[in-house]
Amino acid sequence: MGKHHPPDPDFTQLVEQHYSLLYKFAYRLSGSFADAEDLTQHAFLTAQKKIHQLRSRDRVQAWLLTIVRNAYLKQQRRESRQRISLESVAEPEVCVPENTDVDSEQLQKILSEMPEDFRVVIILFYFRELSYKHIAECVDIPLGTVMSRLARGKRYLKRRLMTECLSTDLSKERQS
Amino acid sequence: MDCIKAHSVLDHADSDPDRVLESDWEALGMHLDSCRECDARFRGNQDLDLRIADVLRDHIEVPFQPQRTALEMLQQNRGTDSLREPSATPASEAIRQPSMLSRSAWKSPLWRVTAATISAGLLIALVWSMRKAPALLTLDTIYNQAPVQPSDLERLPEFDKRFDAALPRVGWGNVSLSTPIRSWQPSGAAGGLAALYSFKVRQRGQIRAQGVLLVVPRSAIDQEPLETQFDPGNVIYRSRSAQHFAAVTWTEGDLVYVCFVQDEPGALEALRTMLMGRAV
Repeated sequence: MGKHHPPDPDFTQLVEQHYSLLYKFAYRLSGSFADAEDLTQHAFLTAQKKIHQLRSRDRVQAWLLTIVRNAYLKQQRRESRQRISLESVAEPEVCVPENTDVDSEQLQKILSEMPEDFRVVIILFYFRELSYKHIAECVDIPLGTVMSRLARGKRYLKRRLMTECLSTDLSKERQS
Repeated sequence: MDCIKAHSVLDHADSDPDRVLESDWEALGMHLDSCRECDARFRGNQDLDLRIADVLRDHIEVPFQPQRTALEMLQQNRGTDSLREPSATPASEAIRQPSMLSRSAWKSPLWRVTAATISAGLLIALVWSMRKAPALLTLDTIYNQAPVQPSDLERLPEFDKRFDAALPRVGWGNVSLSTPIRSWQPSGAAGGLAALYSFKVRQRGQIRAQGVLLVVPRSAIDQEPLETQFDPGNVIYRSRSAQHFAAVTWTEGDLVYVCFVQDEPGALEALRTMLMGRAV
């Protein structure tokens, strides 16, 4: 087996290149700007201490995202938040028209209600930064499980968006 | 898995994902990582999927100050970090290696010739790199020196069209650009000439975003950016003389683009929206 020579990155460049993506990922995970700041800062501080664990510069983004996700999970466990499965969350039986509006806050509300198992893969999927294989590595689950969660998660997300849209339209009608 | 099978699995994925076998999910994932067409089908690429992706990723303002704070904390910690543990570095191995050579090996003519050849090669490479370096412009130099706001361009000379400073492929026809195009060269040693456009994004008579688009030949840049389109998700924030700005860089064909946007709330988003051809 060859010797492992860890890279020695310039941390300023690391922060500049990846801060934005990590922050957005942390926000979509946690639903909180304050938590997003804390999680992102924690990720870079952890990266600085554990840079020797990084096998290749090509993997730095996936690695940093993993650190954020793990920190978020630790936070969830500390706060003793109960994990639920998507199967236990009722999925609205509606057809989703393609012209459904997408509002950032509504999207975040739906994401926050989604179980974390599905939320992480959905966020990473829509961010389009990682391959499915790398998503599996980041979340530490089999590739097949990633695909299954993505298929279910996407369907759930779109149908919930539609329901939210309908509710908003109905309440506007009532007000007028 | 071939594409026909992948399509079948994708159809079930949409209508009844519980019926798909675990092994099929696994094979689908591997197939989608290598097949763009099937991946596009899974991603939907209909308007709704694109809008979800767009909102999920881009409709978030990333504040400037926390990034600066993170950098400061990293720099403070740098003195105590353990990046260079001697036992883990190749340098420690290199130090150990010469003791493995016997005295007789050093005196061998073959060894002397080899050492001389290697030394000559290193010297040539060093001289060559010293000659080559001054001709290349670094992104760092651009961030530190290039004009970043439209008013800075007024004192610059007109661009002499020594290269085709074409606008990026997508969306820049929608942005209000000032003429003439200006030229800029960094002070001090290295660097080629760059072309500069100043731009403004307006909404209802108000300026929502303004900045400078810098264009430089790829051949003149040391380490061109890997991104191939304007992507506000990959942004760098800097300050210079109390000016705060954001910079987005990318490479298209033979040109490298650096887009400076003044760091005002919503500015980057307004520019992105304008480039996509939507009303701001």
